[in-house]
Order: sequence, then C-alpha cells, then structure tokens
Amino acid sequence: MSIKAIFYSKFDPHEGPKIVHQVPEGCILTSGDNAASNGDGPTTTTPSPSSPLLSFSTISRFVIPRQSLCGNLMTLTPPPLTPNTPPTLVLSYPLCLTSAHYPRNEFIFNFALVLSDPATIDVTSYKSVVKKLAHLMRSLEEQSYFLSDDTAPANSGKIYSLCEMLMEDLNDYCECMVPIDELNTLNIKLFPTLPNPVGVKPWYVPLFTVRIETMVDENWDLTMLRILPYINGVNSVTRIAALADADIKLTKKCVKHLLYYGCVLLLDIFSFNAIYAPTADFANMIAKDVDMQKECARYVNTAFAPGAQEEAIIDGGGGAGGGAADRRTSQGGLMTTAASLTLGDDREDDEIWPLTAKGEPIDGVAIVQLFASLRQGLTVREWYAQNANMLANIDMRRFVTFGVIKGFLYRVHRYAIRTRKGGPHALHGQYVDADAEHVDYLSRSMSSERDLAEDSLRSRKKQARDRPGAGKSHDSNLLNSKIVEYLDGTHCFDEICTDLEISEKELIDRLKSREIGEVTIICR
Amino acid sequence: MEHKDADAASTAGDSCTTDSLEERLKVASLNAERNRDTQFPAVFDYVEPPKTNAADIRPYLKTPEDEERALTADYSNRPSLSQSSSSHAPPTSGFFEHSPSDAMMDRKLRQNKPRLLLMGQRRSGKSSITSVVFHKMPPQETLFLESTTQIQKDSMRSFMDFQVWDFPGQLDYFDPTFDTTEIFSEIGALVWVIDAQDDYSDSLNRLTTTILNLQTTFPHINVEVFIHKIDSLNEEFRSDIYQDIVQRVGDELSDAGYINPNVSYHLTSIYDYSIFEAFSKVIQKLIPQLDTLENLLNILVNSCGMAKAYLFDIWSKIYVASDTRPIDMEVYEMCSDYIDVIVDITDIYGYDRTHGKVLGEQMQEAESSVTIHDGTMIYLKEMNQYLCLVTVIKNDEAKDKKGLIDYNCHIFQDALNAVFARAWEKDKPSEDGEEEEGQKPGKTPAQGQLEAQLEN
Amino acid sequence: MDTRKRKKKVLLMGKSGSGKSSMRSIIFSNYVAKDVRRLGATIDVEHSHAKFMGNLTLNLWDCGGQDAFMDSYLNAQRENVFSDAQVLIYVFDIESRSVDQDLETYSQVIKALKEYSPTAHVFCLIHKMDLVQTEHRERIYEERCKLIAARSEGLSLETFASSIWDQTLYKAWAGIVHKMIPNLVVIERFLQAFAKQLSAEEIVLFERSTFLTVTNVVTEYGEDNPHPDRHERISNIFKTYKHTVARNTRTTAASAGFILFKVQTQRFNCFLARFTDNTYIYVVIPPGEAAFNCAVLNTLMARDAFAKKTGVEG
Repeated sequence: MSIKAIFYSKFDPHEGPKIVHQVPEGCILTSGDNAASNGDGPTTTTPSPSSPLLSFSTISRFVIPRQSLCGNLMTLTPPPLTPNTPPTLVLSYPLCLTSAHYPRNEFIFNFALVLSDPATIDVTSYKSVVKKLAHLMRSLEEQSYFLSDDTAPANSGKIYSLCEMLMEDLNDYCECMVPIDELNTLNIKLFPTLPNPVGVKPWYVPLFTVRIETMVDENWDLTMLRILPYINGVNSVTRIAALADADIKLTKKCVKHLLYYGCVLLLDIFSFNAIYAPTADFANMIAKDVDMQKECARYVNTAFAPGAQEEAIIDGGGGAGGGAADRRTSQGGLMTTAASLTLGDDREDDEIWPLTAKGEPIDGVAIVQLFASLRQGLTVREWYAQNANMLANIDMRRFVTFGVIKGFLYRVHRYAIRTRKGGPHALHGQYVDADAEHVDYLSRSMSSERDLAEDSLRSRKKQARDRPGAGKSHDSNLLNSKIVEYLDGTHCFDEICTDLEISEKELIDRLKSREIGEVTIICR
Repeated sequence: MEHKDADAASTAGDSCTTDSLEERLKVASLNAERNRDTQFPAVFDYVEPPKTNAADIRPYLKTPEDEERALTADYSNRPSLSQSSSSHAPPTSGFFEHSPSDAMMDRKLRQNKPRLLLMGQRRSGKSSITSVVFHKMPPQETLFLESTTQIQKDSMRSFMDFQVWDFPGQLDYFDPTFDTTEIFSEIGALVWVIDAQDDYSDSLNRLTTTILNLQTTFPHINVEVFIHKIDSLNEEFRSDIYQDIVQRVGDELSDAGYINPNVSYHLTSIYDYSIFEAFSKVIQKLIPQLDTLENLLNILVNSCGMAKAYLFDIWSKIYVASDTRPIDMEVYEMCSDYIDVIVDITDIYGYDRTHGKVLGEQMQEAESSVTIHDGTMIYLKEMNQYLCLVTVIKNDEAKDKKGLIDYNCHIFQDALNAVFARAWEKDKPSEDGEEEEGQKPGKTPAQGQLEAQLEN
Repeated sequence: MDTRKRKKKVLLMGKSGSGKSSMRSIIFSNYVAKDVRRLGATIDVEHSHAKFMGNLTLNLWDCGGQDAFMDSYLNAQRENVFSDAQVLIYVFDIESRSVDQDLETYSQVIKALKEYSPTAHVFCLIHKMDLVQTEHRERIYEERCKLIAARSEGLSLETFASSIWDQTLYKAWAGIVHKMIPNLVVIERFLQAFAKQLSAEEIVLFERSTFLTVTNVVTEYGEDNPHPDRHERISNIFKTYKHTVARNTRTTAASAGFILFKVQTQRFNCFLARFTDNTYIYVVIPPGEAAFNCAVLNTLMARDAFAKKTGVEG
C-alpha cells in the first residue's frame, strides 16, 4: 500500500487554494470552518475509513505556489498531524495555465500523491507517475477545459473516480489503464528504478542469473545475441568478445546492460592459482544454514552432469553476493543445473551429498569445513592437493563460485608494486620518465591517484601500441616495459594478464626475473 | 438590517430565476462594458452571487442608456451619429476663443468646402473612421456603432470646411433613382474603404465600376483607396494585400482604357495613427495651396535646423501640410499626442483670471515646447484658430536659439496668412462656398489687402 | 535635516478581485490601465519595494484576497503580517454584492491591525467608481464611507474614491503617500517662499516615476482655478504622454522622461522641469515672456538650495 492518498487541488478565484477531490476521503484535513467557504471542501462529517494524515493548510503554499514556481516537481515532507500518524511524502506537480478564458487569467491546479513510508519505497518511479499525470491533465485542460469545467461536488464525478481508480490500480497492480473519455486514456506504469551498475572490466566473468533463452528473441541487439552463447561463468569479458567476434567496448556495454537488469552477476576468472578466503559473513551463512549447505551440495556434485551452459543459482532468499542476484526474486528457491531440469528438484537428501574418492558422502559439515580451509596464501591448486580426497566428486569451480555468489567467499587478488628501478636491461630512454613517476606514485596514497594513473596509463598504452616493434628481444623488452606501467599496486594480476594477453605464469616469471626491477607482490 | 442570505445557495453557472430579464440584461451590459478592448474578449461567466440587503447600489450602476449618453455627451459640439446633420454653430477650436475681429478672418478662410465621400461595402469601417477621426471617439467604442442607414453628412470646421459624407454600405450609387450629380458634384475626393480582413473581391468590383462611371462625368475626382482594418495583420501579409489590390484595380482600369488612373492606396487602421496619416494625405491633395505651403515649410525647416515640421489641424489632428522630408510615424505620433497635452493643460489653466495680474509682454499666440530625455525637442506654435505648427528639433544648436526660431516662425505665420488671403481674395465673395479655382498666389496685389486685414 | 532612508511597511488588502494589484502596477510599475487585464491573481503576499523621492522606501505587501489567504493572515500569520505596519490600504470594490461580508472582513483586519500596529494610518479606497452613474457617485461614496468609518475602531482613517480609468487613482495614492513623506512641512515652506518670489499661481512637486503629487502650493493668484481635481489630471496627462514618448523612442516607461516642458499662452505660462533626481517641479505663473524665462532659470538654480534645505536627496 504505497500510495496512501491522491488529491486534486486548485486555486479558486474566491476561496483561494483548496482541495477539490481527495481519495480516500478525509485523509487530508482542510479548514472546515472557513468563514466565506461555500462548503466545497470535503467535510469531516462523512465517515472516513482512514484517519487524517496531514493538514492541507500547512502545505497549501507549496501545493498551490506562486505562478513562477509552477511547472516543477515538488517533494514535500509534511509534519505529521499527531505523533502517531506515520510519516508521509507528498509528490506534487503544480501547473499554471494562462488564458484569457479563465477569470483572473490563470488556472492553477495540482494532482498530488501522498506516499507512505518513504524510506522503504522507490520514490523515483512515483515521481514519473506524478509528472505524467500532470502533463496529461494539462493537455486535457488545454483541449477541452476538462478540469476547469468540473463542477461536481467534492469527491464525486469524473475526476474523483479517475483518482480513485489510479490509486487502487497502482497499489494493486503497479500499472493502470483508465479511459477518460472517448479520445483519451491514462496509461501509467511504475517502473522500478535500479541503481547504476558498477563498471564492467574486461577481466570480469559474467554469469547468468536468469534463464535468458526464455527472454531472447531475434529483435534483440546484434552484439547481445552474439555474445549470449559465450556467457557461461567461465569466460571473461575479453574472451567473450574474442569468441563472439564482437567489439570489446560493445561487449562491455551489453554486459553492463545485463547487469543493470539483474540478468547476470560478475565473477572473477577462475584459475588454480587463484586464492580465495572466507568473508566475515561466513559464520552467519553457510556455517549455520543447513539449507544452504544442501543447495551447495546439489550445485557442486559432479554426479549431476555438469552442463555446458551454466546458470547461477536463482534463489528466493538473501545472499549479498554479486548484488544483482537478489532483485529478480519472485521464484521460489530453485536450483537449475541442466541436470536438475531433467531430474526435478525432488532429489532425496541422501543422494545430493557428493561422494569422496573413497565413496563416503560428504555432508554439510564437511562442506563447511572445506570452505573454511580456504585461506589467504593458499591457492586453489594447493587447496585441492590438501583435500584431494574430499574433492573427488566436487566441481571445484562451482564450489568456489557458489561461495563467491553467496558472498561468504571472496577472491584475493594479487598486485605488484615496483619498489626500485633498474635491472640488467636498460629500458628505452622514453621510459625513464615513467620510472620516476612510478616511484612518485609509491609515495602517494594509492587510491587517490588511481584515476590519474589510469589515464596516464591509457595514454602511454596508446603510445606503446603505436610504436613499431622490431625483433624478439625488442618484443620482450616491450612487454616488460608494458608490464612496468601496471606495477603501481592498483592493477590486479587478472587485469594485467587479460590486458597483455599473457598467462599468469609468464607474468610471475618475468616479475621474478628482476628484469623489471625490484617488485613486491601483494595479496589482498 | 437583517441578512437575507437564506436563499443564497446559487452555485456557479446557475442564475437566479427570481431576477427579471431586465435585471439580467443590465448586468450583462455591465460586463460588456467592462470589456471594451477587443484584444481581451469577455469570457466571464457572470455568476449571480447571493443577494444581500446592505446598501444595495444596483439601481445606481450604469445601464446601457447611460453608456449611450456618455458616448455622445463628450461630443456635444458634434452632431450625434443617429441624426443627419446640417450646419451648426462653430465649436470652440484652437486654444482659446478668439476675439470677434477674428471672425471675419475665419469666414474668409473657410471659403472652400470640398467634399469627401466615404464609400465602400457594408461593415468595411466607414462610420468608425469618421467617429474616430472627426468625433474623437476611442477606437474600442466603435464596436457599438450601429449600421448606417442614411447618408451621414458631417461638417468639419477647420481652416477649410470639409464635408464628410458617410454612405451606407449597401447603397447602389448608380441606381437610376439616385441623383448622381447631386452627390458627386463638388467633391474633392472619393475615399473607398476596403476591409482587408475580409474577402474584398466584391468591393474591388464595385470600386472599379464606380471609378469607371465617374470618369466620364467627373474625371477630376481623386480616388483614395483605404485598405482598412490592417491592425491584426502582420507585415508580410499587409504588403501582399497591398500589392494584390493595387494590381487588380490597375489591371481592371487599364483593361477599360485608363492607363494611369488617379487612384492612391493607403493602409489604415483606427487602432493606430495610420488613419490620421492617410486622411492627412487625402486632405492635402484637396488643398490648392499645398505646394506653396510645402515650400514654406521647407524653407522654415532648413533655416531653423529642424528635423521635421507639420501644420496640424488642432481639432482633428490631421496635418494639412508638412515639409518634404520623409515621415517617421514615431515622431508623428509624439507630435500628434503633444497637441492633446497642450489642449488638456490649456483646458485646465486657461480660465479667465479675475486678478488680471500680468508680469510682462507676451505674444498673442500660444506656444510650447518639450525636451524629452534623449534631447529631442518638440516645439509647437499656434498659427491661427485652426492650425498649429509642430516641429521637431534635434539639433543642439538650434535648441538654444529660441529667439531666432521664434522670429522665423513669425515670418512663416505671416506667409501662411498671406497664402490663405490670396486664395479667398480671388473668390467671388459668397457664403455658400462655391468652387474656386486653385491658383498659385502671386505676390503683389494681395499684400496690401492682407496687411489691412491683419491690422484689424 | 533628516537624510536617513526611511522604510515604511504598507499593507495593501481587500477582497479578491477588488483591484489591488492593478492599482499597484499602474502607479509603481508603469502599467497602462488597459494592460492590467492580463494580470493574474496574487498568490499569498507579493512583496515589492517602491522608492519614492529618493529618501522614502515603501515596503509594499500586496496581499491576495481569497478566503484561504485572509484566513491565514488573520490567524496563522497574524503577527507577521500586522506588526510594524505604518499604513494599511484597504480596497473596497463598489460593485461587490456582499457588502456586509466585506465590512465584516474589514472589521477583523482592523482589529488585528490595532493589536499589533495601533498607530498605523488607514486609507480606504472605494474602487471601481467608474461603474457608478455619475449623478449618484457622491451620495453612494458618502454612504459607504459612513459604514466604513463605523467599523474602523477609532484608527486614523481617510477615504478616497478611485478608478483606474481616470485621475482619481492618482488623487487617492497621492493622498496616501503624502502622509508618509518625511520633511513635508519643510518642503512646503520652501515652496511657499519660492512661489512668492516668482509671483506664481501655483507650484506642484511631482514624484519622478509615479507622477504622484508630493505636495503643492497655491498662492492667491491661483485660488480661482475652477478645477479642484487638476493635480490628478496633470499627473494623468503627463504620465500618459510619458508612455507615448517611451513607446516612440523605444525606451522603457521608467527611463523615459521630460527634461523641460514649457507652455506659454495669453492667459498663463507654465513649465515642468526636472528638479531633484526624483522629483519634477511644475510652476504656473501669469503671462509675461521675460518673467517666464527668468522663472525657468531661477528654478533650475534653486535645485541645490532645495536639496540642502529640505534634505530631499538630489
């Protein structure tokens, strides 16, 4: 019940600002003892279902403002009538129409929405409702004097029923279609406004949270259609672009759109050199939640035919992982691997637990233990080595992914900082300046200079690309010099590898070889 | 006093049925009266509010009859429009009543009586024009003028006597029952009014028919075409219509064999000064001494460093002559309104003093000047009972040399009088104002007579 | 010698649609009577400042007259509206049908005013008099004045009849402003002496932009003038011509003006000249060319003396 009330008010040439109709009756207090009133305003004698929410006289100067303030959306937070009345938010759009047809040459009116619990609802979508309603009413008035000809007594007549229907439909169905007369209809829908998505970096890995094939049709954007098959939770954005033969910028944009609408969530590149560790939420989530453990079991058990097309878990509950996953949450908890589609989710509890190499089932506690054994400094490879027995029938990528999506695991990225310049190979003279700047970067706070670094990095990348290479050693030097630019501690290895298209191994080799100077590697 | 508001239940849109029709008509006319300005039509829904019993002044509010009376009251010196007029006593014109010795001059000056005929289709605006120009009616009130049913003859008393005959629009002048000789003899100009906002093809046809008919009998008549009601048209449209009319009439006439007909065209409207401007031009053509006057004005302007000079008729504010420099409407309006200012001030302060205090010598004629914020000076000097000279001086040096300007204006005044003296000197001394031949005055023979006259 | 700037709070109240904003626009904003048709209703209070004579600032509160607003002024905003007011201008619409109701509202306003500004001057304008038949105007005006006086609870009251279509508007507002001008006595004394020196019939001082009469002095020579309303008429005449000049020189009405205006006739001479920065002086003297020219010169030279003696800022 987000909309508590809708009211229509206007400036009367004799009475001044007054409420003409309000839905539901009596929720806005007008001064019933107005001396010169003709008894037009809603009176408190009619039994009203709702108690008054606010008083019109306190807000009248904003609801019917001076002519110069009209034509703007106004949001008001009126003081509550009594300490017990809930807080409300009034959205209004006063309009002033000028024409010699009106007495006093102007017609000022306002259709306003009163919302409850402003903190909990999406105010922006209601703002657009108010605007649209205001513009429609304005056109109606200009065409046929629809509003100024309304002589119906308070809370009756066409306008009143319009407000009534609008409020009910919006509250119940979030959309409404009300015919006004044979020519005009009011069509309003509440579009939820979503927050802007984070930037999509080329080394992020998108994973679907919805069954995208049910939504796609051939009218979708071409790039989007091309990249969709490659989004599987394994390919990074760069790789998707390469596989789909699409422009990387467009690919990024498509993924961003999918992210905005909550169709994908972003993960990192899975590699055995990656390090994961539990987050602070670990204790509250899977450690306690048996259902989540079961869900995990179902998800990671390799016995359930790992499919090529992967989808993330669509669940009906919380989980803070990824951000976008929790919004489209009208379905019940449903895990959808390719296997469970065929098998249904009426799996017996016993059968879900994956088996160890020796054939014993791994129960929830063991799963939790496995998760807990991930820590800083332990790569997945090492972790596997330690737990090879338990992980015999567990899909490691899914295991780790489950944790990241749910939010109780996080990926530990590696960064490298160059602490001292120099090295056996002299770098190109052009980069001497770069060295100096890099050293400078070290002394400044990393985060604040990040943007600066990125920009200069981009421009230098361009320079580097333009320079023609000659010879393998030259290439090698070139590569080193390119690597150097990333060594300010703000670029994770994933990024470096993705951008320069080298493997992590090679990167680490080069760094360790001291060709580029003294380098410190940080994990965080 | 008790409140009678028990019945005060009327709401918007309903009218009290207890009111008689009369009451409601009175009230309706009150509203109509409010909305004199055509740009803001009355769209009040007049609501009958509840009756009260307090000192009700309903009976004392203005009624339509009052309005009529008010409209005609100001023009007490002029015949009301619902009666046809004949000659009447001359009004107080000029700035003061002049002494009896001027009366003879007056009579002499008014020997010419050219006639102006206003013709055109119905509702083209002929009566409105006469009301605004010759009867000082505010243009908005011409909405209430009724249709003209008979030929209205107005006399305009000025240095020349004009008769303006306003014809009903639906008359067919060439109907055999009309005595065309009586109408068209002795006319100086025929003014044909065309409504530019309407379809004017019919009007043009009748115009050309009229011209052609007149060419045979009265070829010397000036035909002036007023393209009227142009106030609501934009610039482009105006020139389009102008071109169109000029061409069509020209074509028609040349088809009939008149290559260069004596027809001129003017764009006019009663809501601004264009109608006065147009009338000035029309009347100038009827003045035989126009060239002389223009010459005199030119000499005056050149010698005094003036920007412009007009010879205005005080009452009607039509200018009789001006120097030959181009006319600037803005300057013209300021001069025209300036005359009103002087007339109003003179009206307030021009009463007969009992104390008879005089501080010194001063010339007889009234004169006035105003310097406005941008330095322009408007200088007005009364010439005679009917005419005044209004000049615009922008030249800084000229403004300082008032004495010289005064002197020059005096000379001009003398010359002006000489010119008019000349005119009637040649006449047969008759009171009926028969036609006189317009002649350029020679200098010598009349001088002596003129001086004799002026000495009186 | 008081050269301080004076600020006076002036309340302009009356029933809705009675003509308050129209009058204000004509007097202070150089509107022409025809233009006021286009004005919209005043929402709540419109504040404006009008400078008068250089050392007097009127803080005008143009209050919307609708019921809801009046209710608010008399209750919620009572103190804010009615305190510190020097002048209340209350406008009565002569063709209103709810006379008793109007008087009742007026009475309430007076009560509120008395509460917070008991020394305020009250001016009542009986407006739209042009709608009443001429022969009945006087009587109806008198009757209405009596009714109003009875409700004014002893506050200092002055009434005027007015209409935007003629000069009575100027008379009413000149009368109102007259009361507020500082150093009025000094100014009048100066003008008296000056008139005597010039042997003038009368001297009038006009405010520059509104052309309201600040004050006037009439000597024995000018007493016989048969037109008692001449000063308003002069205001009207000059203001109208100022509009014509503004229109035709393509400047605003506020910046257009006259530097010097002279009329010389057989019966009288008069001239209007810029006196101080904010005033025009208008002098009528008996005929005589030489004396007239002297008078003009003397007046222009008297400016400084005037400014010094009366404190009217030049």
